[in-house]
Amino acid sequence: MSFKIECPFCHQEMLAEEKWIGQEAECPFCSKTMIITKDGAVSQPLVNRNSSGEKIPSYLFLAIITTILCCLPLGIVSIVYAAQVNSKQMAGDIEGARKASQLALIWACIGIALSMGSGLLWGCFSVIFDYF
Amino acid sequence: MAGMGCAGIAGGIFLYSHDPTTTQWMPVCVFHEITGMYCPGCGSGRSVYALLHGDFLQAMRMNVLLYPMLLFAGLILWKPEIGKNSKVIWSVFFILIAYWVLRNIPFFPWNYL
Repeated sequence: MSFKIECPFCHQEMLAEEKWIGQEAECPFCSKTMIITKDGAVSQPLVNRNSSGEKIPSYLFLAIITTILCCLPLGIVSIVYAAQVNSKQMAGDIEGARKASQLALIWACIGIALSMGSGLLWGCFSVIFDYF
Repeated sequence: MAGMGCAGIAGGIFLYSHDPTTTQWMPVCVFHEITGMYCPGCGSGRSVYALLHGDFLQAMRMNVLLYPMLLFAGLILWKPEIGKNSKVIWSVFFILIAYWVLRNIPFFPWNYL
């Protein structure tokens, strides 16, 4: 079975064999080296794309602080996402790992903001009610 | 990093001068307000207040898990790769969930958590 790929450098379309997947190939048009994947050709070597070298933060510190100091169980959600970051990265799912990392940060921030916001609102209301 | 340090110090000064049981300016636990149950973070404000006033025992009584967790959080800041290990993260998750369930059991010895 062959399928269509596009050179990531010169964008020329060509046919690739399925057994070439994962291998390096030289583009016959621009002579640059590309890697053939099942989704098409890419410019970076596979090792870098799946690299465990890329640092995707898990924000576990923020998650713990949110859970333990902000009086809100939202930090737990953040911890669950934090746990997915590394396993997804190990599995080569870089996009998923980045997404989990972002979600971990977002949930921790929601927890902190809600906790601070409710504290401020509560304080303001009590002061206003005491005044009248 | 510096921002977090400043926030920590500001929070400490604020907590030192405001008793969480009486002041109106403390974050109210939304979860506790809605459900009446304690969450893993309940009592941390009172606990830090007690600790800042030198009452170590009272600080432990308010939230036992707070200080081990803070120490652990510090460890993660120091060595971020620990905070990426999924086994470690799931352990933290299960400890927190267990603590959450146990401290809501309303009789001895769980009511001390």
